[in-house]
Amino acid sequence: MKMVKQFLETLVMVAITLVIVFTFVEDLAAYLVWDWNIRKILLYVGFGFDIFFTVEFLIRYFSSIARGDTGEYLVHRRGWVDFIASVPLLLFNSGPSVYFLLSGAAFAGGVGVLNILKVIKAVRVARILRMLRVLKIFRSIKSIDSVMTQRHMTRIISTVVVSIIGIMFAGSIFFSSTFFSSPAMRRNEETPEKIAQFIDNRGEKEADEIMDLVKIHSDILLIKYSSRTLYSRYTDKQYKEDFGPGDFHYVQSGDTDVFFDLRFENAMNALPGMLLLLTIVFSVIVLMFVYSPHFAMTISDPVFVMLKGMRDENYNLEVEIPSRYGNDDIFKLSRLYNDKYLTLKAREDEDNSDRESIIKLEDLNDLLGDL
Amino acid sequence: MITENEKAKQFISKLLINPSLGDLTALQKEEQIIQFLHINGNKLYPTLSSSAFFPGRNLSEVNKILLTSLFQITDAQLIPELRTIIYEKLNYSFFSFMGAGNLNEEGIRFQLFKFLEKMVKRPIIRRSLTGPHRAITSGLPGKYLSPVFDRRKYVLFELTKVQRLKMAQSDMQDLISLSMLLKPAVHLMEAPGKANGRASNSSMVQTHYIQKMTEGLKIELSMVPETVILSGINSNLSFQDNKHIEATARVASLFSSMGVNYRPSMKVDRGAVSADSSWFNISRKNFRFNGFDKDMLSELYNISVENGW
Repeated sequence: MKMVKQFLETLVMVAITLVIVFTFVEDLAAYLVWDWNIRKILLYVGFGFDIFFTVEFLIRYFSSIARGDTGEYLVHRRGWVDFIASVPLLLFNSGPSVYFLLSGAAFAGGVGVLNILKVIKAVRVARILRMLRVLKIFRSIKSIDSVMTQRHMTRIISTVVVSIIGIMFAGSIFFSSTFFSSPAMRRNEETPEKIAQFIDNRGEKEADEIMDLVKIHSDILLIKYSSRTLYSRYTDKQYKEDFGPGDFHYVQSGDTDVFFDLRFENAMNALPGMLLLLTIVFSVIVLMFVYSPHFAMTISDPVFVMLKGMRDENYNLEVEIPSRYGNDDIFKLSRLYNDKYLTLKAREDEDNSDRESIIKLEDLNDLLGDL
Repeated sequence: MITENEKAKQFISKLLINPSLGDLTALQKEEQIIQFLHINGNKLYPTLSSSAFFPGRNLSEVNKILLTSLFQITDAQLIPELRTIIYEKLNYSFFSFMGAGNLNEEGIRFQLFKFLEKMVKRPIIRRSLTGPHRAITSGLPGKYLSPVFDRRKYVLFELTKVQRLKMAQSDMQDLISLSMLLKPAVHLMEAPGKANGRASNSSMVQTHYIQKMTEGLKIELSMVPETVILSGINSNLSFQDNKHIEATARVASLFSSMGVNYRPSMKVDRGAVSADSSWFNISRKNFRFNGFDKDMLSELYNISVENGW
């Protein structure tokens, strides 16, 4: 049973590491406008990850209910991270995408739908929260093998990661057309509608003007007027092979339907996501490998040495006091420990014939059990 | 039928396989087990007085049986080690510098080994020998004398100018090692059974007692120069009260004390100062209490820091 649990924990750790890499690759695929077939595979993989983590969260959640420590799990053991990084993603991001893909329905819509999609896409950043779970992996790092250091590092990293993600998430909602849009954003949103109106006003009669417009606006894919195709940039086969849900949207004006290519806009929108992920990953790495050794050297190591010296009668090593941090309170205490405590302890050891042996009675449990 | 001695040896052997004793010398292990039995004797007694061990024996008798077995187990390792030190490790050519006539090295070795064999029969001497034995087997004199000779500071000045030892570093090492081995001889005149085999109070002894001791030893160790005997016996004196004791005696005193809890393979925890540096620095602060030469401690401390020991 213990081995199965260990295996599952390792599996989750591997999955978390992979999903962080995957999130970057998914954004990279959008940024580089990779072939739809590759992006389709990534969509399914993302869906698979979200199902995996949702199931994992539900198992942990119901186990905590069975144990009666749901509050402890959700608050202190970061169950809230498990939740945010799994269920909303499945329900609002990968789930709907896969549904539309499998049902063959178009994932396109007008400007309003597009705005909703942007907000939903912001949910994806929650995947990065899983970084907090990967912190367990770092426990094997020598400098953070003390429980106190681990707790402090986890708290610092959680604060940094949650702050960055929170700002990005709230910012992507607040600085949207729904709340606080810029003139540039409004212009971008109005342009397709104006193009659709322009075409609708001219209809089939002024085909030359429409062709000129199509040359200028390379994002126009298809123009339909009264259900008849006036213009198509690609063949139906190309649309099927190169475009996925979310790669296009359409605007209707009167009898005119105009389909626009979204792949390049999506590519530009993927860039902040990639940078965000890299920012968080490197912040965590820097904190783990630069700050945690500093924390260990200036806090947990001196405390460990002093505690060991006070507990163990045979342990008489002094605390190393780095000269540049000599005025820190912890090293003032260490100096007292070195100069007063160890000195008196050494004197007491000389006089004390009742001092402890390094063999403990507990070491003999097997032996005493045999007797 | 299994004898009480065999049962005791089985019990002691099980204690000795404790991993925490792994890197200790035979005498250090013995000291730890004696300490363990002393602290936990009452808790162990119900088991040890059961039919499986020593039924009908009181606590004192049980302790005596166990200690006898412990000493036998220790001696099986200790005596050959002492023989190796006396016959193979130490060179006695430095005796000629110290006023000895023609050297009879075989005779010297035989006399010293027999003397040590006799000494280790006494529990209190075994305890006093723990430090010297560890210091010699760990090579402490050699480890520190090389940098002492390179630095040419206080310690070398005391050895060569004040004590006037015109000899090679290796001879100096042998003299200090032999001084350490002779140091416990100061307890030869004490009543047998004192300290019950446990670590004794290390307070320094008085000068008149030393003089009496030396006279006796000069007869017993007739082939050993008096200056060597004095170096060993005077290492029990406090430098604070006797500013003229030999430099070799002062060095022997330091290394013997350092050797008591010395563990060469001890892992130094992150954030801690190395074992040697810690010991010298703490001893510097306790120099009056222990009767050490503070300047010597300071130089040896600096050496340990410079070398990361």
